[in-house]
Formats: sequence, structure tokens, C-alpha cells
Amino acid sequence: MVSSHRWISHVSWEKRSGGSSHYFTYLVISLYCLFHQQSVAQADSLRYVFQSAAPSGSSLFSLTGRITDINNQPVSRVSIYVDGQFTGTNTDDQGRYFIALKPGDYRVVFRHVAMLPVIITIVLRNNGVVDLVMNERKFNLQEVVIEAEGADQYVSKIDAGVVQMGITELKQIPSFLGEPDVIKGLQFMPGITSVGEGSAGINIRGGQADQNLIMINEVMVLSANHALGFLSPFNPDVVQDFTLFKGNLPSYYGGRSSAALNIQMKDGDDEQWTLKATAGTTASKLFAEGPVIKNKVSLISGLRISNTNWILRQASNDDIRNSSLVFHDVYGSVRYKISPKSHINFNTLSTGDNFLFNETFGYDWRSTITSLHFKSMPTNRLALQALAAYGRFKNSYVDPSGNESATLRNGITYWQTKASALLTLTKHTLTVGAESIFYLSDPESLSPYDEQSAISSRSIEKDKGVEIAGFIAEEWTPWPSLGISAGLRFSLFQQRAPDSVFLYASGQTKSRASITDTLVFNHGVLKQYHGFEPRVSIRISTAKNQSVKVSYNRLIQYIQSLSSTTAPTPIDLWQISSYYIKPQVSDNLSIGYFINVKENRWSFSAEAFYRKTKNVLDYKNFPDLFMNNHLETELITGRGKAYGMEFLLKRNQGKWTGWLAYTFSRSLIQMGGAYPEEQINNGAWYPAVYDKPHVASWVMNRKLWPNGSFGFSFTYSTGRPVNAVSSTYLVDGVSIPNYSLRNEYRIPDYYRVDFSITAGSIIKKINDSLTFTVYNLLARRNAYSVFYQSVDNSLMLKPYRLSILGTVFPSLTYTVTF
Amino acid sequence: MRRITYMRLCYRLIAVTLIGGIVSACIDRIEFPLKKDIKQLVVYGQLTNLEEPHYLYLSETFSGSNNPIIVNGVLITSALPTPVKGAQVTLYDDQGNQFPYRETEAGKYELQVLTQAMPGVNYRVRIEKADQIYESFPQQLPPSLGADSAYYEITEDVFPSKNKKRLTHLLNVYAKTTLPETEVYLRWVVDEVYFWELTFFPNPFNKPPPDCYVFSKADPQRITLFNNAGMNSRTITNQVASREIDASFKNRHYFIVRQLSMNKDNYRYWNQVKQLIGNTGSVFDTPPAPISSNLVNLSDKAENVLGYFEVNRVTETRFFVVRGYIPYYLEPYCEYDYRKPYDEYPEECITCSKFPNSTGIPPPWF
Repeated sequence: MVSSHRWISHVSWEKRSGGSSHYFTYLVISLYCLFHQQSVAQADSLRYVFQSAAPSGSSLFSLTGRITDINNQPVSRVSIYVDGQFTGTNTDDQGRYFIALKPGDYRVVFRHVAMLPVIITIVLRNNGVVDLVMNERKFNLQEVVIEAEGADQYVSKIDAGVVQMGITELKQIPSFLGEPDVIKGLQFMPGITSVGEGSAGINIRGGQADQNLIMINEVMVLSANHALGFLSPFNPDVVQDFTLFKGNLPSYYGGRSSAALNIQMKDGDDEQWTLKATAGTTASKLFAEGPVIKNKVSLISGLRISNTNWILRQASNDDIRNSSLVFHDVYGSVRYKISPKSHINFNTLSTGDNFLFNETFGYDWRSTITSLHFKSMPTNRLALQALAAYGRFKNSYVDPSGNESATLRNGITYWQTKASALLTLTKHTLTVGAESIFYLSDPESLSPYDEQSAISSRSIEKDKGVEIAGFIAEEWTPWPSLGISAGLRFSLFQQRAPDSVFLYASGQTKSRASITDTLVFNHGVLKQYHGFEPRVSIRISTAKNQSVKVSYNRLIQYIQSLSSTTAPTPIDLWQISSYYIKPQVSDNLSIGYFINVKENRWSFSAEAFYRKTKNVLDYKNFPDLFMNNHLETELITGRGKAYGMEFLLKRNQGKWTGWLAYTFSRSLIQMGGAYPEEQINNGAWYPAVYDKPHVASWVMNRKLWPNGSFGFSFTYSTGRPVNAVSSTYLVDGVSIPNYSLRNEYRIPDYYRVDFSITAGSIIKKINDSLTFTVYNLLARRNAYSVFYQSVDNSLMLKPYRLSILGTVFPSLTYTVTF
Repeated sequence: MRRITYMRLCYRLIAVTLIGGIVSACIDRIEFPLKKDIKQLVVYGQLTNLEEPHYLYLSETFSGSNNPIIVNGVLITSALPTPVKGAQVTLYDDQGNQFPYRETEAGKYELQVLTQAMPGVNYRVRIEKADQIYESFPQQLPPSLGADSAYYEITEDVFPSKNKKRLTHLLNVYAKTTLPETEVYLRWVVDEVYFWELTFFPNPFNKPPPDCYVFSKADPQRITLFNNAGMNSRTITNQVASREIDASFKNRHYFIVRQLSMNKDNYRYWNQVKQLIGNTGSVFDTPPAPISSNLVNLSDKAENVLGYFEVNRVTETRFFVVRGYIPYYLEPYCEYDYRKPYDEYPEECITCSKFPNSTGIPPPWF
């Protein structure tokens, strides 16, 4: 039986053409739903008639409306299909949709992964508005068939290379230690990889991890690194859904040269309170949402605290047993409904991590993002949106032993503001707006760890700057078979005073020794960069269920992370563009073919992409990035290119759902500076550390009776590039590895199998669930890296393979909801 | 009752599975295939202020008889570089003097005439090998170094060893250093010299085995560096070596702590070496890269020469340990046992030459 059947539809058509038939329909449907256990298929009885008092003579009428959930929250990305039409459409972030149709009778289907589908019939002889309330999907006794979110969206949307996933879909993927994670889940999609297990960040279509703009509710997040990279700080309990733009970035997103990921957090329930507690082997969680003032002010809050140390205590390795790892994240949001069509949201996310490795070294990093959002819909065609946000990221490195025991601290604070207006017309959707981000880096400081330390305290000033952008975006659908999304962003960056700039001798590479003078700026602008960023995407629908999309994007990036390690780490420095560090500029091309068959039961897509980037940063060998106020002496600049093909076969509906993804891609870098110190591999192209030509993943999920599920995943990738030791030699008795050219070799290929089983109603009369997850079922010792060590006083260094997660990782998670 | 037993079994299974899958990194020895061999010159020479023999070592990676091993059609690292014989090595100073080196062993060249480096003089070494000429950048003797006092502590530690743990006793060597007021760049190395008692087999003349003195590096892979820039303390303590206590401690066992003062480039070289050999494959590793030496091929400046020629101011601190200082029982190793056939004795109990750097003549201070 469908447990949730209280769905309501209401029509505002009467304001235009008289509404007796609408009210009659509404009454009939409401009564029907009240007295019958309404099933989805029976929703065909929703019928709307939009008649004109007099013949209008118009050849096209508009069908518009707004889709909300039972809490009156807009439901975005509801796919809307009109039978007999070429393509459908999707609701926007405000839950609104717009379709232009010839006069006629139609059957319209509204689908969303988290909602029960709604099917209506309309008689369209005039413009009509259909606002619908969709009910959340509950999987219950008879419900063993699920549908993936907006299955047709990949075909119908104009933008290419968009990955949209709801939290429901994310939870279908078996996860490490039973904790569904946005960043880890995305890695099962084509074109998305990472350096390896335990490394922070993801690499999208051959881009570096810092080339991805990560946002929550459109507010920039600088640190998406939790638990040493095994998790991201986005507690799945408070995540609504997330959208990754890896092909075409709308012009209202910018500031990174590869991709954008927006994580939409949930709003609190307007009508009733829900409490949830979760105990897991890795983390425990508390969750609460509900009305503070019914239908006026709502609250949502999620807390996650690690409990990993008891696991570390069980390790046989002394170093691990004596280590500690603590992390937490707190999210809170309050929404105040000013009127039915406008509201204010106050959100804050605070995360903290502390890792100490056997009194040898430690990291501590914390992040806070607080924002205020205002959204309003003055008319059914106009939406206004504004946000003001404060973000802070700080980290510290601790070396607690020896004469040089010290704590190194870094941080950056930023203030972000953004305002936009969205106008929806018959065939056009127009967005205009502006955005600014002010960056202020903390002074970098080094202080003694304890009284035994010989270190003297010192600090150096860091940069500050402001990024300003204006944008305009237009979606135009001249014909159902053609959609054009075009946008233009103009961005400007200024490095602001007070600051100083070192001058270097000409004809030499920049080094401490080649400094000739210093320019001191007490006020004003030290350096300014700007540029236009055109964004175009075209969709040509070759049939109702298939389309071809082409896109071109130019992206400019004014902030990047600096890391002196192999992969991104929690203590990487964020460095804004400066006098010597130019912004990265990338040009991105993609073309894709999308098809859905068997009434969206199956989807298939094939996409090709090419990106070239200039001003890519790399480092001279053995860079000294900390406590260095002339970082330009350690950096080298070059160019990058990435290309590849992505294939995705997806089953959207049925007892089994899931997908099979394969990506062939290359990501290459060239550092061919004027001086030998500024060259890598003698100026030749070389593979990036995350270059993995072949990546495949297979994800399957099956609903189990009565209310459980079974998930399975398999992932494979080519081993990442590494430097190998070509020989070992002795210097004063020390065996020294002689390394090959940069990334000349590869570690062995990677593959892994995971599965999870979730069972609901463990204890009678309690709404609970138990999830058992096994990560790396085959206990494969996948290599993260290869390193060389001397063992038993041997003079020869021997290669060793490090497997970070080289065994089976089972986990149990128990959740109870009140 | 049956249900309770079943539930208990389930809980136990879950607990065992959870604990069995504890987060722990796995490290396995592998063979890593190489695409090609690389032949590079390796140079290491040291000139100090001490009146002692000064050597320069020349070798080549993957050269001559030291070809890499081919396994399943791929190359793997096989052995250390082979010595370079017959090179002409000369030390030059900025006073117009030149001092030849003489090859005393294959690849080992000893400086002639000059017995110690002098302050304020620039030195460079020139190597002529086949038709190639290599030269080091000029260096001076650093002006100062710290004053060391050395001591040791005995500890124990547990190491994993083939499916079991092994309790090991360690002798840790420390150097307590008083730093000068001027900026210094320091490195410590610890040499050891000990008397190795060969097995005294009964013989008609009751002739004892020959004396055996072994010279080696204690804990050679430990690189201890210190630079006092940005430091506020004049006294520091560093652990400079850790040595497993074994049969070599049955007789007098000397440790010589050498403090080497060097210039900034030389220090940077050793710092890079330290970073490379300290890598453990983790995400926090320094990206590995070739280390540049201070020698260049005059006719091919792009050639990457390995190693370093360094000019160091050195001070030595020496102490010894005898068996009585070791609070543990030392297992018999080379002691004669009438039940044991001759060929079951370890080779190092029979001949001193088993140790690569050994002699029958003790150093004068021993």
C-alpha cells in the first residue's frame, strides 16, 4: 500500500478564465484521495481544463506552475513530460516550470526521484497554471520498483555534462564505513576520479582538485576535506541534493577552471518535528528539523561526531594505535517565511578535524561557512535571489617532537555576496546578476610547540584581494527540438594593498638569490586581472527521446591551492592570484549524445570533451612553500590539456537500478619555462598525478522486501602515474633513490568491490534501520603509491607498495527516527 | 535457547569482522618494472679541516658488469652502481694549487699532499673520465660549528618480523650541541668501530684467531640536520643514531659522532636527501624528484650528475660501550661449540673479511 497519499493539486487558472471546472476537479481529486488509498497510476484522473471564453486565435499557449512538497518547499528538477511532444522540461530551483504548447489535449507526467510521480491530463485552450504538491516517496511493503531522479533530464536539459543526484540515489551506493558521501559518491560517475583513497578532492575531466568550485547553497566552500579525505564535511542527513556541472557551467557560476558542484541543503519541515539519531562504527549523528513557528519559521540541524579512535586502538601497528583522529561537523539552518512567495534563510556549517600521528606530526583544520539567503517571487515569472556569506578556513600543522617542534598556522577568510534575478518568459529564461568575493589571508605563523623547542615565533603577512563578476545567462528554446543556453560572465580580480612585491634580476629564474629590490604598496591595487567568460551550450533533439549537445566554456580561476605533497592535503595553502601568480584560464569543449529508451527505463550517453588550460601552476623540485613570502620563487607556470570520452548506461526504473560508466581520458601538463629550474621533464608533456586513462564503475541497487535495499558497486581504474627509482646510489653511506622523470611510471591498476544491505524496522513500532556495509569486499591491496626503503641495513632501496585501505572494511550503522 | 545461541554467534561474527577490518595501511614488497636503464655518474667526496685521509668515490649506475636484471621482459633495480676506475681526479684551490687524487681501490680515490682544508680558501674538484670532464662549484670551509657532547640510552622496541613481533634492544646515540652565535648548517653522522671476536677453534698450537676491527656507519639512513636560522636556543639535543644491540657489543664498541658544518647549498642537498628517503608513500610525501649535485659536466651541462663534493668543518666526539654496560643477556654467536660442525658457523665468525670495511689493525685511540 502506498503509505503517503495526501497529495493535492490546485490551479490558479481561474484568475484568467474562470475557475469553476478547476474547483470541481480539485474537489473531486481531494475527496478521491481522502477516501481511497491512492496509487500513482490512478493519478490520471487529475484533469485540468483551460478554456477561453472567446477564441483567442493564438497558436501557442503556456502551461506554467510551481511544484512544491507538502512543506510548501519548491521541488527543483522535477522532470515534466508531455506526451506527444518532442522534449520535456524541468523545474528550476524555485520549483517552477514553463511549457509552450499548441492547443490540444495532453497527458503530462511529473517525476522526481524522491517524490511520487503525478500524472495529469489537460485540455489546453488558453494559458494555464498548474501548481502541484508532490508527496515524498516512501518505500514500503509493496513498493519494490524505484525510479531514478528525472530520468529524462539528461536528454531534455540544454546543458551538457550535468550530473544531478539526490540523497536517495546517493544512499544506494555502498559507502566507506557506511557513511554516504557526496564527494565519494560522485566518483562513481564518468569523468570523475581522485588521486587515491584517503586523498582529498576530486578530479573532474582531467582538472586538478582545486579547479572545482564547491558550494553549499551557492556559497563557496574552500575545504571539502574531512577525516583525512575519507569523507567530505557534508552530512548526508541535511543534504537535499547536489548538482555537478562538468561540461557547461552556467555563467552565474565562476571562479574555477574545471567544474562546479552545488550542494543544496535541506530546509526544515514547516509542519512537524522529526528527530533522528544514528550510531555508526565511524561517526554518530543527531538530526532535528521542525517548525519553530508553524508554517512561518522552521529549523533544521545536523550534528556528526567521529568515533574512530576506538578503531585505531585496535590496530596492531603501534604508530596507528597511538594516533588519534577526531572530526565533527554541525549544520544549522533557520528559514523565515516572509510571505508565501518570499523567505529568508540563515545557514551555518562548521567543521573541525584533528589528526595526530603517534606524536610524530599532526594536523588540525577548521572551516566555518555562514550565509544569509533571501529568495522572492514577486510574480510567477520573476524570481529574485540574494545571498551574503562569510567563510573562514584555517589549518595548522603540528610537529610535536625534537628541537624544531612547532605549530604552523595558516588561514583565509572570505566574504561573498551575490544577487540575481531570474525571468521566465515563453521561450526564454533570463538570469542576470553580480557576485563579489573578498579574500583576506591570515598571516602565516610559526610558533614553538613546547618549551623544549628551539624555534622562535615568527609570522609573515599574506595576500588579500577581491573578485568581482557580473553575469547574464539566457536559455532559449526557439523550437522544441532546439535549445540554446548562452551566457557571459565578466570577472575582475584585484590584489589589494598593503603588500610588497619582490623584484628579480632579469635573465635569471626567480629565486631568493635573484631578488634585486622590493616594491612596497601602502594602498590601492597591486595587480589587476580581468576577462570575459563566454558560455554556450546547444541542444538539438533528434527525436523525442534523444538529443545531441555541444558546449563551449571559458573559465577563469583567481584562487588556487598550493601543496608540497603528492596529493591534496588538509593543510594546503589557498593562494589568490597576485603580482606574479596569474589566473588560470581554461577553454572547454564538449559534445555529447543522449538517449532514453523504454519510457526512460534506460538511459545512455556518450560525451567527448577537450580542455586546454594556461597558467597552470606546478612547483620546482623540493619546494619550500611554508613561511615563504616570495612563493613565486618556488612556483613554475605551464599549460595543461585534458581530453576524453565518457559513456554512461543507466537503468532508471525497475527492481534493479544502477549504472555502468566508463571513461577514457588523459590529463597532461607541460612546464617548459625559460630556465632549467622552471622545466619539468625537460619541458615535455607529462601526465598529471591523477591521470588515469581507463576508469570504469558499476553500481547496482535492489529494493528488498519489506523495506530494505541491497547495493553493490565495482570500480576499476588504471594506476596513477608515479616517479620510480631507476637506481640506488651511495653518498657518505646513505642509500639514495635516483628517481625517474616526473610521473614516468604507473602503479598497478585499481579495482574494488563493495556492497551494502539496509534493513528497516529492526525493532517493532520504531522507525529505524540498520545498514551493513562492506568496503573492499575482495580485500584487494590496491596500491596508493610505491615508495622505496632500505630494510635490514641493506644498501639497496627496495620498492614497496602502500595500500591505504588494503583490507575488508565492514561497518554497521543504526538509525532511529522519531 | 537455540535462538539466543544463534544471536550470540551473529554478534560474535560481526565483532570479529569489525575488528578484523581495522584501519591499517598495508605495505608489501614488490618488484617495480622499469622501461630503460640509466647510466649516470655518481660522485661523493669530502674534504675536511681534520688531518685525516680524504677520499672521493666514483661510480656509475647501471654500467659495465652491473646490468639491470631483466625479469619477464622488464628491467628491475638490481644492484648498486659499479666503481669507475682509471679516472683522473684533481683538487684545485683558488691560490693556484692543485692536488692529485690517487686511486687506492676500484672507484676509491685518496687525496695526496693536502692533509686538511684551510679556512678562507675555495676548493673545487675536477674529474676527467674518458672524454668527459666534471667539475664541482668552488666551496670554502665553513667558519664555525657547534660543540658536541655525546651520550647514549638503551631502550627496547618491538618490530614486526615475519608473522610475529620481535623484541629488540636498541642503543640510541644522542648529541647535545652548544651552537655558535653565527648561522650554521649542521649534519651529524655516527661511525662505529668495534672489536669482533672470531671463533676460537681448538688447535694444536692454541693459536687464537686474528684480531678483527670493524669500521662502519651506525644507522646510515638516519639524516640528522639542523640550521639555527630562526631558532632561539643555543643548546639542542638530537638523536643521531639508533643501533640494535647484537653480538658486536660483546667487546669494546666505539661510537664516533661527527658533526659536519657545511654551506647552505650543501645543507639543502642533504635536506632533499632526507625528504626523499623519509618518504613512506603517503599522501603527505614530498613529490620525489632527482636531486641536483654541485658537479657539472663541462661539455654537457644538462647531464644530471649524482652525488656531492663537500667541504666540511668537522668535530668528532667519541665514546665506547663494553659488554658490562649492556643490561641484557647477549646470546652466544661466534662462541665455539664442540657439538657444532665447522661449516655451520656463520661466515663472519670465521673470517674478518666478511665485513666490508674491516682490518686487523686497531685505530690508535682504540
